[in-house]
Amino acid sequence: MLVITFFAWGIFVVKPIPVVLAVDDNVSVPIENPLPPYAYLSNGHLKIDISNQSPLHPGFGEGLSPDTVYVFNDVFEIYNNETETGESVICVTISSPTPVIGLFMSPYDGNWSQSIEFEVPANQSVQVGMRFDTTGLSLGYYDQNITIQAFGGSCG
Amino acid sequence: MMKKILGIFMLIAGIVIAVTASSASFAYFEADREVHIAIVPDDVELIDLVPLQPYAYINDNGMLVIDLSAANGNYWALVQQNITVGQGVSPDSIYVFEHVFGVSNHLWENVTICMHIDYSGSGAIIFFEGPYTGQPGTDELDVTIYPGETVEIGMIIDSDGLDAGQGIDGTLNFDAVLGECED
Repeated sequence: MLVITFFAWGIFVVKPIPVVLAVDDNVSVPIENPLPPYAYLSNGHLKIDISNQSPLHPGFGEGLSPDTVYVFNDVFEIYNNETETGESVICVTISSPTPVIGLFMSPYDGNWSQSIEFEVPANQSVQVGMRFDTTGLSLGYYDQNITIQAFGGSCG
Repeated sequence: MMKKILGIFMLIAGIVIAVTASSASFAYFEADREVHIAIVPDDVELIDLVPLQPYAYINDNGMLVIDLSAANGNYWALVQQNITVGQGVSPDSIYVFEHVFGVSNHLWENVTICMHIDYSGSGAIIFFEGPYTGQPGTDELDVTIYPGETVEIGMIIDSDGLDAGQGIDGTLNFDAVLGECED
């Protein structure tokens, strides 16, 4: 009986983490808001699109040229809706796998990073800007993913 | 005995799920989000550089090139039409070319920008905005470009002191910020 209890306890400790992960926070707790025109919601998910395939493309300005740096304030925001997150503060990390896509908290002060971390208090939002450096890219479509992670509670 | 063990096991597992579900309002969020960018030639991008004369063209890499030599593809296109075209500028001359290229503001968010144009490289080339009215030209220009508008940039070449066969090479740097230029 002792052995069984221990086994059950083992499950008790290990199990909660995967169960929490299995809850699809992705759908039930939206924290990402696009701030048009270079970002929009695609099937409920934030998408940054600077091409004539964007539904917000106004009919001019087809993209970015090679060997150019563009910096955009306020591309999207992270919002901590406390009634949905249940957290008085969340810690958010946004990362890009490449220096082609730089990130910063708006407004731009000359500093950017491939990975930024910030806290969002209850019912407040933080605007995120993006810096695109197309040096060395060739003509055509450039597709990449950025990763957004959020935890309940303060950072660090 | 086994049934009983299984019963305890199921009960504990059931409690675990119930407890976590009730506290799972927000624990962790991770998502990959798409970034989709069209890399396009200079003349169709958000802030675009458009050749307005055969002296300027967009090269295979999509970049604006100003070329007054036989290396310019437009030169050979004219040659093929049996048109006699000049192969460059001669020493000790001053050439003024109006609207060599245009800079347009095709940003989607309908904002005004101040474009700073900076030339670096061999001397002898200076630039001016709009029609030529005898203005001196400069190697640094600040021009306000309203949404949808195009400003035209002209070029003055002063080959004084240059020898035949000598080349002039330089780079134009474009740097724009939000808002009208300050005087």
